Amino acid sequence: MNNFENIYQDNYPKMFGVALKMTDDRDAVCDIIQDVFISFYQKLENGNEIKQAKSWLMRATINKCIDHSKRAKKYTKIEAIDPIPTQESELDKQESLLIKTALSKLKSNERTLALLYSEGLSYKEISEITGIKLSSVGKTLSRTLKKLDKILKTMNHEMFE
Amino acid sequence: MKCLNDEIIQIYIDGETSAEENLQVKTHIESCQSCAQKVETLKARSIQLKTWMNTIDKTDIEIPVFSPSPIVQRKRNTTLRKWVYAASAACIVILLTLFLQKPKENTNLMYSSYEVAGEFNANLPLSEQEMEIVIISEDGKIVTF
Repeated sequence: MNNFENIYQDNYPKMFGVALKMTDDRDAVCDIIQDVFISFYQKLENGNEIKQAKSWLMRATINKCIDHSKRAKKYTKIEAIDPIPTQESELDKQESLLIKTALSKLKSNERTLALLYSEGLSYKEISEITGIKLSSVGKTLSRTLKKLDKILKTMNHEMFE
Repeated sequence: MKCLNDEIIQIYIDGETSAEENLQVKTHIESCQSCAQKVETLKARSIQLKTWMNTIDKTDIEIPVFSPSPIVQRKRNTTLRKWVYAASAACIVILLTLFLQKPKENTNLMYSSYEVAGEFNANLPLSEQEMEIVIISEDGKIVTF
């Protein structure tokens, strides 16, 4: 289980980063990652072999975030109905919101690709997680970044002028 | 060499080209101002997009201590409980089957004794005989013909 602890410590920040870009709720992100690690732990305990632990964890995180987003669309949180923003947090939120809005305009697989790329994953890891052929990652990524760049420029925010 | 396309430039920027490809790209951009410019532009775009995507607040990530034990234990208990429920249900079904089963009726009349009342007239058919045959079964049931 020492190996598990290492995997946990190594992968938690990246999983957190990807999940946070897909989900607004930090508490939900913590729960999602905890759930993923519990599933992973149980698989190991039951003697199941997971060859690509990093890819497995990231894939599971993305899937759980997608599930969470679907559920979140059904139920609106009470605090989301009547927010009381402060000026300072509003500015930070605007930047974050702009990126999230731009990312949301991408197709699901493109968004996943962009998020994984932003976390500094290698093409091999991206290929394992997304199922895109290793030889096609570069091409797909190039197109996705071009599209994202165009979307952000179209949104015409002062930050990107 | 033909000018570089976006795909190969992207792979080059990300350091994912093979040694041979890497050399080809380097050699080409040394001699092609247009492609060298394109590489710089796409490199800047990649860095900028990564930076923007990482502006989403990731500060203060506290890695909590992982403790799967209570949940694993709870799941195990759930499995055990399922088996207990299944066994209990099976017992109830068996008991109900045993208790509610109708006792099988004994169609063969066992008799312990019989009496013949009246006389048998040999000149009359059996249906017109005046005599009575009384059969007393083992459990005391009386059947008269």
